[in-house]
Amino acid sequence: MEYEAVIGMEVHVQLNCKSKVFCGCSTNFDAPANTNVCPVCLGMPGAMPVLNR
Amino acid sequence: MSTISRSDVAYVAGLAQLDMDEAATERLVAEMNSILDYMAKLNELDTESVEPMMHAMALTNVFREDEVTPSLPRELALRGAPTHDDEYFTVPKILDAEGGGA
Amino acid sequence: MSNWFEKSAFEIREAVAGGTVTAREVATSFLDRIDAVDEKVGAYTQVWHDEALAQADAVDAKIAAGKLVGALAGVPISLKELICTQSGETTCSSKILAGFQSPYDATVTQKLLADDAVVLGKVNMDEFAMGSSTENSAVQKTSNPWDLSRVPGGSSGGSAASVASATSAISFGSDTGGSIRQPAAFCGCVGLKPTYGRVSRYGLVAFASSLDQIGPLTRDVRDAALAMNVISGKDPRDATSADLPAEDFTKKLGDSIAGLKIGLPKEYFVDALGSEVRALVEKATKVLEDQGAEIVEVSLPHTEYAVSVYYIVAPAEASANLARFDGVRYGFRHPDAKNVSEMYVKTKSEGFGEEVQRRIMLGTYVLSSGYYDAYYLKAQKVRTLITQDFDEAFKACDIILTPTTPSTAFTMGEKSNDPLEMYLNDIFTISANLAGIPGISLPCGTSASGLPVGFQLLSKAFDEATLLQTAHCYEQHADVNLGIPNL
Repeated sequence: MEYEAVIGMEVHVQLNCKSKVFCGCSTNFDAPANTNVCPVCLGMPGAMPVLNR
Repeated sequence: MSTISRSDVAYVAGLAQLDMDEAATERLVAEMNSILDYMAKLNELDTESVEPMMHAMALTNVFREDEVTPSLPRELALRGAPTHDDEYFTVPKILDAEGGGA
Repeated sequence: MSNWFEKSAFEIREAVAGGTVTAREVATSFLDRIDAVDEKVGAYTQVWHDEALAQADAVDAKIAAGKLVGALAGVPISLKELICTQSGETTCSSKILAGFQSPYDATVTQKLLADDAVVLGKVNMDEFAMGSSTENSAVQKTSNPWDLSRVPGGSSGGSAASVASATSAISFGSDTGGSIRQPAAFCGCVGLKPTYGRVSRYGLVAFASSLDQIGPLTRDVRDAALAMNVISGKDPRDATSADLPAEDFTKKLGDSIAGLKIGLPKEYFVDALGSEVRALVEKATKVLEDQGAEIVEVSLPHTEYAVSVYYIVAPAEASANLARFDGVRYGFRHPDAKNVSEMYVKTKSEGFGEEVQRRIMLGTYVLSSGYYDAYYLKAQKVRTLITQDFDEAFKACDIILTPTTPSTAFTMGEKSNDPLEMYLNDIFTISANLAGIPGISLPCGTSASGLPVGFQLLSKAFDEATLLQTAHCYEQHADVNLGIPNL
């Protein structure tokens, strides 16, 4: 039997920025659960993402 | 274009995370075929050299500055959830008792 | 004493700001009107009695203190169920969002409150704006105020029924394929869909993101212009909102239209168009011609493909937008699920109504592997052709005039068994959304059976000022006054 190798890579990088990619919530690591969240990153109805520069 | 079968409907329902019983599947086979037949009209047009239009306006990238803005108070973030505790959204267990599941 | 609920927003604002009447008196007049007639019409899903009076009192306090008040000071308005408000609920008339309290206000809500409008409550719609009759609401039925056995149109049916029955001076709806203009035509009011990008969509629960726009339904054209002054503008929270300087949409009202070129697209005056509607639209054309407009024939050759393109693009976008309703963070969750994946499936299957599920299925299918090119990509290419048709037509004219709908309001249940027949009802309104251009529907008379008939004006993108100028000129000279229906 012939095999074809298909290799995928999933890369995780923590970017050096103060706010999240789609909203202005802090990326501070030690905050209590569900405190750095807003309508955008919770996917609330009607909320829209704006990309971090 | 193509005809939609019962198994197509079942497959698409799986992708869409919808549960279709027998009656609903039957109905959707008929309706989707009738709607997609109507859409086959688009094949009358030669669009070989036409660019697709993804948006109503020519869009350029819009960015925001990397600045922290206030988050929601946690009570407000959790308020609308069907179940939650003081800190977290809660959901049924992810692995079922037999060890399979999602 | 005059009935304030019969007045236009402009008249109300002048009277309130000028001290002739208090905002509380006006709000009370409208709230009493809701109590008197809305049981029959069913436009309102939520009436905010106490809160409306508190808002009105705040406006009165500002005036008493000699402070400047906003452009909609004391004007009682209603909002479609899909515009997010921190007060009350935002349900999209869906079971899946029953009881949902938004933790934030939509940009449009914020702007309206900042300009001192008084929100009377929320109004009914087709679930997630999917429908043309408001029959797809999971909450309640809404009737056409001119004939309670007929539909008000949709999806902004509650908005149109409310303005027509004088239970709000302005209602804010949304238009994805005609959802403001078609119900405005069926109920005999003015309905404006702005250019894509003119009004922020932040806080508008999305149906099809490349097509949706919020707009006003009003009693007359001046009120529509007034409402646009308040809600339009760049919003940093909506990356697709247009960065244009603030504009006064009332600036060209009253200007002559002599020499303006109005195009009639021959593809819109087809057999499907009812003879009564055709006659009234032709009469409306004559009114504008008498005011000095030059009537020319134009062609929009790809019109017959618009419905197909729309019912591929809109469900595709909807299937992506609605994926978030999984019962975790808000809204309805099915109570009996052994594990989380079963919870997703049961929640969606029970929470979404039949039409919403149909469109999710269609959208998922056209985006699925193997069919993407045949349907979605093909539709996006034809969308380009439809947009080019308008570019071409607007070289020969300034404004395009068409019917808004092929017929007058149909009876409840008449079209609800055949989805395709219901979709064809949007045949004259869909193209404007695909091309992103603005459109307005205006009443142009009534049929023999007393039902309102509307016609539509379209302009180039971001030329709402000329659109409103033309519409206002028509209104001033047409002598079409439907009044308020007997309820």
